[in-house]
Amino acid sequence: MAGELGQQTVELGSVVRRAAEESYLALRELVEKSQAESDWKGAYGGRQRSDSEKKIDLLKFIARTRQRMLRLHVLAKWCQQVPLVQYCQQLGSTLSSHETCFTQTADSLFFMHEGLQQARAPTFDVPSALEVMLTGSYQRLPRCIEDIGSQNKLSPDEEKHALQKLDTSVRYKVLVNPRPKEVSSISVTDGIAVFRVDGEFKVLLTLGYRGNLDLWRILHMELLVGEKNGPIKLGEIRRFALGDDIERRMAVSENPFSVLYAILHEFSISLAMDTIIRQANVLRHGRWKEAISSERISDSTAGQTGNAAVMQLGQDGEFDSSGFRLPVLKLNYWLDGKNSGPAESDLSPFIKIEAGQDMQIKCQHSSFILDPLTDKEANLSLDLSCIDVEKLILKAIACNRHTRLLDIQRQLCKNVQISQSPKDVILKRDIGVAKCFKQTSWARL
Amino acid sequence: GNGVQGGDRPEDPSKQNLAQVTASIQRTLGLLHQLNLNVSSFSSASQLPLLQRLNALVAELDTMQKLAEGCNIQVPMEVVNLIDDGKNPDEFTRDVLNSCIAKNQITKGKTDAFKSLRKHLLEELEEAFPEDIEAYRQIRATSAAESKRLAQSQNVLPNGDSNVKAEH
Repeated sequence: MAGELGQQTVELGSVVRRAAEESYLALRELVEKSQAESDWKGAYGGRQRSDSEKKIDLLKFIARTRQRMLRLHVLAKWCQQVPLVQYCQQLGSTLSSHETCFTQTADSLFFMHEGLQQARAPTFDVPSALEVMLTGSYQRLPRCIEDIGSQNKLSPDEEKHALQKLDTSVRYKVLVNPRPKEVSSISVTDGIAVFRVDGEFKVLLTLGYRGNLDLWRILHMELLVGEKNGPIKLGEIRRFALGDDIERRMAVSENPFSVLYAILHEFSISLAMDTIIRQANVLRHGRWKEAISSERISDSTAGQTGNAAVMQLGQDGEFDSSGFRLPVLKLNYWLDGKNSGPAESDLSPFIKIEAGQDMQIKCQHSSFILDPLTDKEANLSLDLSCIDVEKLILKAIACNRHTRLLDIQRQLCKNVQISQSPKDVILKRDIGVAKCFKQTSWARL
Repeated sequence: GNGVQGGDRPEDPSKQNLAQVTASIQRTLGLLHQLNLNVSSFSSASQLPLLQRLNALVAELDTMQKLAEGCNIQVPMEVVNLIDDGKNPDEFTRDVLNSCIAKNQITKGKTDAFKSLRKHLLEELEEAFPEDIEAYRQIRATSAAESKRLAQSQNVLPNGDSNVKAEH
């Protein structure tokens, strides 16, 4: 408010000068008017002012000038207060600057208030500190450090030491935990346990599932089921998915090794059956076209074609092998060419390949056949690491033939006198280990 | 008469000048008054004094003008307007004074508010950080003593609160 007062000013001197000038000019005007009148007495026909008029003009002049002078006088008198007014104005400007300072202060305080919130001391982890102080160690790492810490690598010495410890732990756990008897071999090296089931799978295990040293982690899995050109390869994605699943189940089971065995065994067996069936089909369409027939007998669920075996799960997600049915293959050979219907093929011998109650693949021949090499009942079996159905069939045929011939021989010996002469043609067949089979000559009968 | 007050100001010359101008105006007024008397009661005998007085008036106006050249006092327009309106120019002075007082009051209020805030803050801080506040107080005391010494040596006009005790 006071800031606006007294902004525009005029100089007193100029006011005074102006006033004086005006007065003087007015007087001069009057004088010149009267002078003109006296000089040009009636020359222009201008009206002569009467004496009283002149007087009145003069009085007017005096009055106006007097008023002017009075005002000027008041102004001049007032000017004595100018120092006071100036002082007040100075005070006003000082006060304005104070106000500005205060406003700035208030703003700064406000911002500081905001900033103080960030200047708070952080929440210190007192419990952990106490733990470290009292026990000299800590049981649990805070989450963030855990993330950073996991990226450190151990020094070679530390690594060796840690590996030794791990090896001891693994050995202990392998010894202590029960494992299925079907596991062919198990060894521990450098903290890694190698489980091997011949003809099925091989898996490398170590401890430390998700940081827990009591639980198992799968480092590597490979299949030992294979054909002539080598074991079947397990795809990366499948391997990881399967591995994760097995790890998880092992972690919650009281008997991790049996869980491991059960799952992988079933997987291998399914794969083996699929391979066997596939090979049979190939043979059927190929070299053995008219000679064999195969029939797939599947029970309730399960039994998919292709290389993948589907795991059947029970209701609660637990692995339930009892509900799992693998397909059964029936291979007929020495077919009677004229027969076409399935009923007739019952007469020809067959090999039944199935996974029995104990989930092991077994081959069974339709009739009793003798193995020429052992002179005992032929034991038809498939080597799962090198599945060769053709070889199986050939062996079955050889044994069956041997058996039949022996049968014939027996029959002949019972009824007929057999005599030998040097002119007899002796057919011998050398079968590896010195066993011969003599064919009698029919001519003597 | 001479209406000048308080002559210790450094603007003494301009004060004198103002006084002279004022005196001149007064003389002019006197002359005009006499002229008025002369003219209103004019007779043949009063012609010479009339002329004399007129001349004196002109002379006085001339003096006034010369004196006014040395006068550089700035007069606010408001005052001039007030006089033209026939009002008392002291009203302007009064307004200026009042607004100054009002401003002062406002600022004093703010000052007091800040002071109480500071006091409150220090009290609270002392509870939380006693050693820090003690150190702060010492620093403030030394710097206040320093600035006081400086002010006294420079003979600065103290403000109204100069009798406040050492910063607490």
